[in-house]
Amino acid sequence: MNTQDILQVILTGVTNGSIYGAIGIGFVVIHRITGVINFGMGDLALVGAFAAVVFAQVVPLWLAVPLGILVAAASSMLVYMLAIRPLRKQALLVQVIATLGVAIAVRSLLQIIFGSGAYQLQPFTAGPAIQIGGATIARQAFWVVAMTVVLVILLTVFFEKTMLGRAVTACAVNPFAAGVVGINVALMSALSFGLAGAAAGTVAIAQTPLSVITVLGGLTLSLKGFVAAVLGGLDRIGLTVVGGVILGLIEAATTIFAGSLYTTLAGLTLLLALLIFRPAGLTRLRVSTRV
Amino acid sequence: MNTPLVAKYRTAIGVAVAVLVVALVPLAVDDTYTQGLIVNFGIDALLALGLVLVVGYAGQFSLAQAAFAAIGAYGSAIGTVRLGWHPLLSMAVAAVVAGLLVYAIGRPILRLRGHFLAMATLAFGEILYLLLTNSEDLGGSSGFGGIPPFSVLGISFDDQRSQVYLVLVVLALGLWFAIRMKASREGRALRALRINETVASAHGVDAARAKTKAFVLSAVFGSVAGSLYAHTMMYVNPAPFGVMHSVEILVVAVIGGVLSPWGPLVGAAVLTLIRETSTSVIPGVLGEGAVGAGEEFTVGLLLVVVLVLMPQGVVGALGSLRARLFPAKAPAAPPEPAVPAPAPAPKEPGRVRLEVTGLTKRFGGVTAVSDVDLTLRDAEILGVIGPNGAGKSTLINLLSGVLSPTEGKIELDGEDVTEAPAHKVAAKGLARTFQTPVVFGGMTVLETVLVGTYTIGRAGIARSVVPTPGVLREERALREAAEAALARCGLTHLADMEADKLSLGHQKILEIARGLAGSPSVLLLDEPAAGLNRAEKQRMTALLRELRAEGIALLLVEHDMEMVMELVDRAHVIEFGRTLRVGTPDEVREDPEVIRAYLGVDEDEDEEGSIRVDH
Repeated sequence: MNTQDILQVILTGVTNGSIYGAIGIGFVVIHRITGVINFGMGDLALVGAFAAVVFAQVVPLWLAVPLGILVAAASSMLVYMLAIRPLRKQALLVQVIATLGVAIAVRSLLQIIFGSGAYQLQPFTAGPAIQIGGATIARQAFWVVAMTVVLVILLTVFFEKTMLGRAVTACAVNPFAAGVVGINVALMSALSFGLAGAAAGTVAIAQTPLSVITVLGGLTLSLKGFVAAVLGGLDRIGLTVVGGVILGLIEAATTIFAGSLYTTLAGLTLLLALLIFRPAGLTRLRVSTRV
Repeated sequence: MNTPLVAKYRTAIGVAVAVLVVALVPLAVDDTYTQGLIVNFGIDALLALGLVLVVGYAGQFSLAQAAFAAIGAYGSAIGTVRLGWHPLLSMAVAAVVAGLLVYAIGRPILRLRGHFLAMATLAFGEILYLLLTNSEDLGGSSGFGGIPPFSVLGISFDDQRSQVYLVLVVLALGLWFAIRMKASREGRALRALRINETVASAHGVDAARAKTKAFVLSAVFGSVAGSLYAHTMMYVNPAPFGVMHSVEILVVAVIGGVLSPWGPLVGAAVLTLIRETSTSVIPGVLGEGAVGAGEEFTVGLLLVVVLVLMPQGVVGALGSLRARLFPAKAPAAPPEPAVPAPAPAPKEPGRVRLEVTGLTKRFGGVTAVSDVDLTLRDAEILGVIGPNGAGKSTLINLLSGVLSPTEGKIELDGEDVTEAPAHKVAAKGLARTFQTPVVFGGMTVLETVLVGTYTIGRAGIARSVVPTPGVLREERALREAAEAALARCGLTHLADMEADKLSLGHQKILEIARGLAGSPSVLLLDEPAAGLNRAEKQRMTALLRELRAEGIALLLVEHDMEMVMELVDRAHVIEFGRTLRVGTPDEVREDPEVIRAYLGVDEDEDEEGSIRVDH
């Protein structure tokens, strides 16, 4: 183990961790407002990335990226309208199972359209990778990290400072009371799906120039994003990104020191261990019932 | 389930039909292709049956059914090929391993609120898949073969027709298990749990433990199905045990309907049909390469569409259709209660049952109950009264273990139960009712009350599935206890009605019947008369008098002052969580503090915080 390896682990870990954190934010936003765990989170993020790839064929990149984000947000909202909203009178369990159906339908639809091949976008800013103390980092990685940081700031301001954000939070705390004071709970839930799609889509698009995307990556993205979300207690946006970075660092370290075979295994084991031993993640929330 | 007789008859017919199908279908089918389809159908149905135990009975869902099958398949393969064990032993060992693994995962995770089990099982399935794919010892992604045919008692299932028999027989056994379990003591507890965890716990059901049991059983079902798969294929590799197959099994369960053990049969048949259709139709429409994706798309879409259009699945939808076409006969008019029996002579309050000292509960900065002392004796009714928001319901929640107090001590029969969870408090003989009646949809009135007998029964899942004389005797005793509770509350004529079809008045009485069914020594009543009309209130009053005369210690939270003052031996007045006065009805009525607090000196307070007095 030398400093160069450690530096590389940190750079790769923070970059990948930002992506996991952003997908995790998607889980957190939806879970906070509706209580649903959306199994389709990673796949919806990929819808945005694929849309950006398609748009980039016809319009300049600076326009394709926001259009892709818009598509991710819109499809996420559409999923709410078509699959979750009609089930609002059913148990939460039923809604969660429905998101699983959505995840599979979206994934296989993408596969029918795009096949199983790899797709990529142009980097946002051209230029060679940057060397830091012997470790390498692509310029695009800065975009990924920066966009994640901006996302955290924007969402935090939105939920805590704006009227609309407070209305959404009110639905999370007590949907009945929120309805009584005139907040349109259905609209707020749809909005939360849209925000989640936009957040996850933004960073999925930003990472597309960095590594390729394939249609089958959605499930893995969902699982890793969920690890981040659990670390954030399925509630805290900032901690979720911290959680994503922790997972990213663990994965990067596993790849360098144990081999890429064990990378995915490390993430999954972390998830299982968290749920068994530390379901509140980095938070001090009470998630366990009395025993 | 109209009458026990018809129900018994119907099960017998069902079993007879199942036996005929099992015996005749393999004879009628000659081509190996169809035989292969039947084997696959049976294995999928068995896997889904295991899942139904988790989703339909325990209200959680798991995405590891294929992983459990992998444990069974690889267990059988390793046992028979590598270790030279008997197939039956290999199958059993694999099932035990699966069960233990699942216990270790399920026990901690099933304590959590929400649906973490799904993600945890998803991760578990992926981990197992990765390990199998990368295990050189087990042949990696290409697996290994040479698995002998299954054999038991000297019979070897070596041709395809006998394998059809094998799979169908095991499926029939699994079905029998699921049907028996649904009607058993633990099955009722699980179904109650699925609908309302708090209420089930208040009747003595240990929620996390019961759900873990169902989850372990689902793993055993999955593992056995996997063993059968290995023996029919004679070869194992990781590919069929991926996450997608677990999802397909979930789809099978959802399409058929998760609430009925028959659902998986329908679901598995539908899935077989979809697979057959997609392999023949999709290549023509989307091209040869899209078969996999096309089939997955159908499966995903179907899952959403079925949930939206018929969340109870095909079997559930058929059930509601039948209910609409042949509505249940309206129950015979209730036998008019004869002149209310003269109240039995009140017994003197006896020994102390419940002793509470310094009870305090804070929610964040709000103190809902503050330093309350309280004593409840046998054969007495203690009325707890106070303005809305005084902390009466919180008090009941604390006493019954639904909430745990911040400070103070609760003793039940001299035993410290301050920190005991609801199900342990219930097991010690404390029952309670809920302010808003919680009836279990899909259960009859009798079944609802049977949930209340949970604490007096002992039979676990495994025992109640095998109808030994002891289990039958216990079930009969529970039924008698439930029927007695119904009779004493005057609900006998409604026993076979769906509980959620009852009027509010009857539901409130049903709450009490369910509480009584477990023969409690202490009964806490949370506003039993709210929403009842005058005649119903009189009947309720008479019932509570009788219960007191039998020696039950009753704690009554009620807003109807007339009823409270007429009934109770002592009244305990609380305001803002604090004790204001404890005394006989007369003492309380004349206490200036009490009058100020809520009989209302000025109008404003009266509007907000006072109690309705019926005149």
